[in-house]
Amino acid sequence: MADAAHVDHVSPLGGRWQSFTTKARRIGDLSKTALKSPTTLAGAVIIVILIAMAILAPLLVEGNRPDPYQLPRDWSAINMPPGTPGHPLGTTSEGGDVLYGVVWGARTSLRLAFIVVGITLVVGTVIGSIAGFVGGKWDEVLMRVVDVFLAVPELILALAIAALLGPSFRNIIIAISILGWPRYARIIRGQIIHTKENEYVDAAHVIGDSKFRIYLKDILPNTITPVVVAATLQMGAVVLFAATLSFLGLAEAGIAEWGNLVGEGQAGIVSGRWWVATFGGLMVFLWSLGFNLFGDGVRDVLDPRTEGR
Amino acid sequence: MQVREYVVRRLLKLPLVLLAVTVAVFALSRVGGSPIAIYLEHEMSPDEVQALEERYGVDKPLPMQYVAWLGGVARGDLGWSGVSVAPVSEVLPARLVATIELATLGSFIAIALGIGLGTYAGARRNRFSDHVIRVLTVSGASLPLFWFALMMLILFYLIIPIAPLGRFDPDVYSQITHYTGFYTIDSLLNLNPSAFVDAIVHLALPAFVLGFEGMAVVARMMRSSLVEEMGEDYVDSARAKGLPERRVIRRHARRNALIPTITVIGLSWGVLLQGSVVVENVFRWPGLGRWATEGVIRGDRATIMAFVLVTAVVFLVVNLVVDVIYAYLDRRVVLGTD
Repeated sequence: MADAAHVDHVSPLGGRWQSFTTKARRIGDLSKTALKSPTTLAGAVIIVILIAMAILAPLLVEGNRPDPYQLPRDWSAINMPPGTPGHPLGTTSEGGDVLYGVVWGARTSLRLAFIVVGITLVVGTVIGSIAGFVGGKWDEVLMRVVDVFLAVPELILALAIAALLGPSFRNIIIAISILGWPRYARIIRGQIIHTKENEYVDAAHVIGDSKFRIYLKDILPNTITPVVVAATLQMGAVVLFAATLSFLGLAEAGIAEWGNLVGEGQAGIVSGRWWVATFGGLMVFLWSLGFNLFGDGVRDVLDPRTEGR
Repeated sequence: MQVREYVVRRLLKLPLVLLAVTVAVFALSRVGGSPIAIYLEHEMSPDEVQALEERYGVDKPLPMQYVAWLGGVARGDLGWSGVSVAPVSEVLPARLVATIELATLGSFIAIALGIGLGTYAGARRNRFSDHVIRVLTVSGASLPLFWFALMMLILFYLIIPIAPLGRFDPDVYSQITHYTGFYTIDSLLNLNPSAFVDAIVHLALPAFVLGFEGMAVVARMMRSSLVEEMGEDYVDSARAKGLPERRVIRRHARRNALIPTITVIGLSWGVLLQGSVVVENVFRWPGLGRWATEGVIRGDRATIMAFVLVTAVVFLVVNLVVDVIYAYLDRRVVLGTD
């Protein structure tokens, strides 16, 4: 009877849903604890401001037509320094408004971060789950593929992929997505193998739950926490990565994106026009700093061993 | 014995991974349309196109194309670099040497500063200087390298004009004989102090910028592993012997803390290789990264493929060396592998 009671506790749907909501609540609690640290809080504040800027971009600076993700050109005002009326942060060598690039660049970055993290998370979860849950030959083959991906520096591969697909911001997104999933696959695989050993998984087997059901209700929810941390850090990293690629000239000219702004401003620096590159790069720095500070803080709380490191 | 076994196993694995990388590079080059696209013109008749396809073997099945390409690579034939208007194999060595020179100095800076700062912070855990270094290293990890490089350029080229662009002053560079291709080494072999100074002056800023990113990574690892070691019993017993704190840290804790840091140094080589792409572009350094970027922008496949291949090989070999060193230093690693 004692066994039955134990099984009862895990088998009904309600119990499993509860384990999921408990997880979600736990992440909420952890974030609260994490925010007590001043650096984590600073990170959170930066993130909130930048995301607000991205969402409110059309209200802050009127969108360019027809494509709001292209800098508006004002050919009568090229290379204007900051403080010029109508162009508070100056203009590029082609008359693009820097403030427009800064504000709408936040929107570009947010979109990019959601798309890339979304795609890589789903692909990584599927592949990591097959490797970890099905195991055997699948595990062996998939992990060797992951090894090859991780064997070469990311930027080099991304450069090659984006170049061969042709220069455009969309192709940058594709390139980064192709390279991003192995990270999640590895985390999820490890987490699943670890979770599989738990007694409640055996119990679910005993009461005759299907494999897929066990995976969905008992195993997957337990992989969430480390994945959330990784995804938070990735939200920052992918924007930095994409900015590097578009700085190198892999995006279309004139796109309202921070890295591209730096790229367009680069040539002017030698002749003293510092503003285009400075403001664009500052935004990338803030974005990436915000997510790094916040992600680090959450990780410290999750893993007490790293506390104070 | 086990260490030797581990090293042999790693060495045997290397060719397999390299082969996988060549497959990946080849596959990549076939994703974005026909590889002979740059030779095609609108006025060409289908016969002419077919002749071109036959000439470059593009009409054959993919596996055969791969074998043909791999054979060429093995013979040192990496194709024609449109960017340099020369065979890749002629341009590559000089570019590679320029990058290695930059990356080597960059990694020295990263390692020296990283270990120094990390030790300093770890020994003063949770004190003010520790927090300052922590903020510095976290910002180092978030700093867009391309932006940092440009900010340094503004500072040391525009505001305090002391840093030159490029790799050398052509007048000085042409005075010496280039035995190895490394400007610093060649200037010493020529016993030409002004060339050596020229080399260092051009190297200093790009190498510092490149090293800064790696420094942050090394310092973080060094700090946390030192903090961990400081909690060990042997540190207490060294203190109990009456050794001064300085000596406890230098002779005991730091030595052990260095072991995990070595892995990070190996990883940071990858960071450095990637960083050199950006740094070379900003400082107009005539290395592999700048060459590849030109190739990327102009869609020059041979250049891109050569770049990916060479970088991957360098990276894999460096990682292998680091893993082997690590295995010798910390034998627990060997027991933990499959």
